[in-house]
Amino acid sequence: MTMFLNTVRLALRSTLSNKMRSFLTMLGIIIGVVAVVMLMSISNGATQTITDAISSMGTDRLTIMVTNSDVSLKAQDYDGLLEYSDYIAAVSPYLSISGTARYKSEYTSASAVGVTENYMSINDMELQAGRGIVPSDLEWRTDVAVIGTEIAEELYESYDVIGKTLTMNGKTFTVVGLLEEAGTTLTGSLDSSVLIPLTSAQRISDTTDITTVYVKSVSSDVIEQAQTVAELYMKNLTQDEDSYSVFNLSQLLDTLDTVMNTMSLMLGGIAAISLIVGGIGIMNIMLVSVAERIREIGIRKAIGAKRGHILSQFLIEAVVLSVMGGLIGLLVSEIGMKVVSHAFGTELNVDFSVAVGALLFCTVIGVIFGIYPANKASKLTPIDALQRK
Amino acid sequence: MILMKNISKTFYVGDEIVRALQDVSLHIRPNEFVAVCGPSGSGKTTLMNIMGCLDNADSGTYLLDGVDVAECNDRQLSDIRSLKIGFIFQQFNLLDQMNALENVELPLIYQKVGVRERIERAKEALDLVGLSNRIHHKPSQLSGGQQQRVAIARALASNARVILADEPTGNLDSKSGEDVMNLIGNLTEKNCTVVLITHNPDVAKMAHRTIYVHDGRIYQEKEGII
Repeated sequence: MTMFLNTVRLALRSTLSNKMRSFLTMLGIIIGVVAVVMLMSISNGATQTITDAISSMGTDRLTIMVTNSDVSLKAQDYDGLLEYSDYIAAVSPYLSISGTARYKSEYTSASAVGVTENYMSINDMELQAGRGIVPSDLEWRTDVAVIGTEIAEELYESYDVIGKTLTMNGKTFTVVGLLEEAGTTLTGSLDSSVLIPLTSAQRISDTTDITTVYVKSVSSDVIEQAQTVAELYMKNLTQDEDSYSVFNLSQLLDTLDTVMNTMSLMLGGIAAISLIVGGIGIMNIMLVSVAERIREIGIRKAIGAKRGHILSQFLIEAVVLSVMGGLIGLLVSEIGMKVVSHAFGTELNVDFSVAVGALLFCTVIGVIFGIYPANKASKLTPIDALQRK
Repeated sequence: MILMKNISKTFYVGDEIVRALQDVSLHIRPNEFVAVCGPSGSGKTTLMNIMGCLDNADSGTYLLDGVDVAECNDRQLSDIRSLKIGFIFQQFNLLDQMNALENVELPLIYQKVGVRERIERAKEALDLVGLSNRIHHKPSQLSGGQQQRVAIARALASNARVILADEPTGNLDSKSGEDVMNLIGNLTEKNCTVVLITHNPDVAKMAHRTIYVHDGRIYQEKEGII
């Protein structure tokens, strides 16, 4: 152990005594580590952001989409789904209409969603003022709307919106409710929603066909069962397996995870090539070092060093070089990530597991590329080493 | 202590065959101080390399402290060099990046001596050669004589029974050389067998006995002035 510590101390000393050479040798490793760590951390960060965004949209929710335009299903056709299974907590058919919302001279592009009374609870939407869409709105096809904060800001420049009107696709709606601010997701801002009664939306778009339905399972644990049930129900309803699809977000999440992991591994793998190139640099300089210090090897052997001593000495020096390069690389990556975070206005950090992995990889590189020069040094006979100039 | 029988060694320098040693036989007793004298190229350094297990003979038998060196593997030879032999070279052969103390400690590290005892023994040895005030100096900060004294301390600290000195005064001025020779002369009192290689008859005079080497053969042994 003292032997080992001594060797490490000496290796550090010889690395520091030859600063420029050591730095240039380590540069390959530094660049490699920075490339690996930053690429993987950024891609991990991006994956995290995306999966967070998706899972915040609810992992207890299914979406049914009718993909065959020849199949005509009405809102009532889906009602049976609720009684069909205990796994299903709510069913909410909806209909999107995009257009422009106007109020006096203000206007903004918006997507109005024709919804039933349970749409808000399925999508975890909360009201901050007024009321939501209620069954009587659907029954009477009232021209009421519940709007998001972004729409409120764009059209009225205030949150005092109850009783105000907005015009969309030639129809005037009275605002009866304002949603809580919800932020942005991948699919756009949740705060630019305009919710209207489904029946009113059907009248505007002149269709009673419903092609999209949100289904909420009783909990996210039984989402798989709920999906099976929903698929079975749709099959009975349409008699054609190819005319609809049922998907849940966790499925999407899994797929996305796999894709992102593959991508991050691929990027890391490409960057790891530069680490190997750095390792070759270390091997090169260690060979030079062995040649330069042949006399030292001879002296050490003359005073009793065994092959193993010489081998471990040069091996440790190679590992010290690569690990030091790795540590410097991590430091640079940390700074780099701060710069990237600042530039993109997001919070990105060096992934701990990636950092540990990179350091381990550096150690392995040091051993692999150090073993040849170290072995070469240890095999010298004492007399050869002492007499060579 | 050292028993050689019919030792031969041949080198090939290009196409030329150099018979460095031919049928050399000699016996050196424990605690003896022997000078090996001869002109350059006579084979005396080759003799010392074989004695010190740095090199092996082509033929013949060499018993060191009763052990047949030819039978030893690489590890065992390292152990012999580590525990039994101390070298003093003409070029001192200290490690430049280490200070005097670390240089003297080095053989003890290879002997796996614990850190506390190691430092104690190294300091003791440096004290014996009169360098206790220079232990943190690097070789480049020491004079030639001082460097050679560090080398002697290194040989002493390892408790080697056999000290092999190859022209220890060759690179020194006469005053430093005298100091170094006095130290080497006293080594026999520390239970050491000393073999001194030199081409300088004045230096050889200090030994108990002188062996002359010429063209790879020992041709005369004569008792020196004790």
